[in-house]
Amino acid sequence: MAENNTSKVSSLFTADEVACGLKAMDRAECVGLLAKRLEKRKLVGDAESVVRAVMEREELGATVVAPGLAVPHARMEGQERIVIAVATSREGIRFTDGADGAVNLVVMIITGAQAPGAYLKVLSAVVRAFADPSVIEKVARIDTAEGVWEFFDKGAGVLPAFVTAKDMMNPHLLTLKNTDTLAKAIDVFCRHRVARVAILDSDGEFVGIVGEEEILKLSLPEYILWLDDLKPILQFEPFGQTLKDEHVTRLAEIMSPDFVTVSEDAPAIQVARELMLGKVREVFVTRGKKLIGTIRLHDLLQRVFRG
Amino acid sequence: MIFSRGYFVDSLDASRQKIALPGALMLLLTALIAGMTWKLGLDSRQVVSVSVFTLIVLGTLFFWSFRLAIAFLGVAALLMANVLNIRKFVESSTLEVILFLVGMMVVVGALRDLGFFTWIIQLIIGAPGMTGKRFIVVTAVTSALLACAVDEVTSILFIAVLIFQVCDTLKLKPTPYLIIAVMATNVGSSGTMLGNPVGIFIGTKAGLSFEDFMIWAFPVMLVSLALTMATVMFYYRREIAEFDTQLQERKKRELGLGPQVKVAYGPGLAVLLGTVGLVAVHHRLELLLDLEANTVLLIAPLISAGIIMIWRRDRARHYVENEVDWWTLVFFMLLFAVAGTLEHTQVTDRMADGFAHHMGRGLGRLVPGITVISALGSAFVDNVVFVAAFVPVVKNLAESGIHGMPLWWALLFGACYGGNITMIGSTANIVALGMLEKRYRSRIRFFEWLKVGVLAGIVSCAFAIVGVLILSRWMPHG
Repeated sequence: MAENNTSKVSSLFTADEVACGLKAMDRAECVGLLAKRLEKRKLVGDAESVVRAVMEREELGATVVAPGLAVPHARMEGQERIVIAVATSREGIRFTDGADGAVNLVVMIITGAQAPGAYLKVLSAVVRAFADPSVIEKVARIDTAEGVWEFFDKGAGVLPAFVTAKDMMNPHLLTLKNTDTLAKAIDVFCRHRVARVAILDSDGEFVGIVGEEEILKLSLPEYILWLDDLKPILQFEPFGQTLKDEHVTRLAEIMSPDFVTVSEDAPAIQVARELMLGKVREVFVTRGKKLIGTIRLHDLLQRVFRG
Repeated sequence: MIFSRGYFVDSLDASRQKIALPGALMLLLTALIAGMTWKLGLDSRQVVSVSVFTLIVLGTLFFWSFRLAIAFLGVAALLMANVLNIRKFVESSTLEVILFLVGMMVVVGALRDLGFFTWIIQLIIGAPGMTGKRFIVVTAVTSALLACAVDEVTSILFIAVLIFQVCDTLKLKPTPYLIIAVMATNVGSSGTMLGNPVGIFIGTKAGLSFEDFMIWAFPVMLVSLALTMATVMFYYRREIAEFDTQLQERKKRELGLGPQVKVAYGPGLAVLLGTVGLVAVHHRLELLLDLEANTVLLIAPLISAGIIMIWRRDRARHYVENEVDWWTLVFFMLLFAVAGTLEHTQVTDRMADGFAHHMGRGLGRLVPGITVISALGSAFVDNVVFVAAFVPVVKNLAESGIHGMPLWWALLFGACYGGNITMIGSTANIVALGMLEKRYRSRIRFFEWLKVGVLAGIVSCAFAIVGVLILSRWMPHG
């Protein structure tokens, strides 16, 4: 595949596949416009099927990967090489509802159906290049397609040798301190609907996790679960003790040291291995002893199989 | 009651490389012993039976998880070599003991369902005025008595959960407290016939009743327990002081050791008291009904199990399929058959002669000799394996005119207390360590256990020897 022999994202497209300075429009219009451009250049089969595939993927979840940046994509049967089309708009292209739904830069990627690695590499290169929102604004202000292509060519978007854990992770962390109380943790679980929270010590180092299981275990220890007849706990009696203690029980007392970590620069495939071997649904990405992100099994599967 | 030495030892011999060396060593040692017995003048049938038994002993030592497979092959080899026949196999497999254990396992499953063990744990967790020392003593005594009432493995399964709960709450490393409880369990298991498969096996082979155990074994067990506890509690005095500090700290904050629920313990308690009660009066009932000795004893758990399975018919299949440890019971059955072959081929006669020749015929030497040998043997080999081989020897000694009862108690105490010496000395140890490893991913080192184990072993065995010798004056003959 062509992408294996290149090192820059710019090598995957030319200025002809760049639509520059678009007026305000919605996602479908933008995708249609870029698909037609690729069809005209004979880089894809037909624009209609590209639009259908991209929009189907969008239905699974919007592809806004950073503020101002959307990376819609699709895997197409018969597509032999990876192709990219780029759109910029100062006025904004609406990808999702809500205040942050309009983006200024769209990088549409079309790959072969059985090439998950290709898309992930391009995606990680684009996200790395446009991590700073000001860079996106800068690209959106470029007036010509050649100028946009040159921006990509001059260092913005180097294809990595492999996708790393950092590329796959969700950097939006929900953490608590080990000195926080159980009451605070329960509030966090209820408010954010998460299954587990990472626990940090006073130095900000990652020291444990508190999950729904740990909280449930406090109220329902093994010796109560032996009971076949649940009458003694029909009214959730054991939970009363936990509620009584919730403001004095520190998370350090109940957190579990059983979690799986990967280094940020570990290959993403290593993440899959750790998820399987550790029999966990989430791995934590670390830089030294600091936690920088998480990767859930669900996210990994979606990224690899559906992009 | 599912227990297995497997998940502990499996991790030790997981790789093929770790199988090859002990496998070769096992075969070499078996060949050496076969050669030695041949040189000693044993006939070919005796050599085969000794070799197969040695293979099983070494198999349990080196390949615990393969022990059943080795026992299957061993029995097949004995049958093929015409050293054992089907009739003798059935006779020797001691089916009555196996059925007794099946019944007890069903009863234990029902006790768990009915909340009996939850009630016991909550009684300890919620006891007022608890201090570190008191908690350890209460837990140890409960472990011992529970072992007496059900069996050692069941006892430690539930007591370990109590220790983990309390140690998790107090943020303490559970290892020392778990070791103390396991040691109490092993000592306690000698108190009644229900405490240990060894007890019921010795009881049936020696014709001892539950009352005999209560009169002669239980008091010795109580004093041995007190001495063992004093020893291990002194050994772990720092850890117990730390326990006390943490406990008082938690009590100051008016926090408990775990949630408690109101458990209707009545039915569970009734099941246990009914079963133990029936076992306790078996001798009287047998005399009254003119039944063969130990008939009521062996069927008592089956009666309880049968009633439970009718009463809780929706759980009956679960009890039989999941609460009965068939793996271990089938192994016991084959093991008893192989050990029986030693008796049929008169190997045990020769062992008894040799034993009497070297130790003399006086109790003053035989009781310490049997206690020490069975303790050392049980420290490294499963005590059931050891006792199965040694029972015919003691039987021969008793039939030769030596006062038999003290020898049976010596064998029982040695086999039970020897289990404390090493971390692999008893099934209770293995189960507790397996639970510790599974929950905390921490292991106890062999020598860490050995240091305190040797102390506990010496103290308890020394008292058992003295106790049996003193009591022997009043023990009945014949």
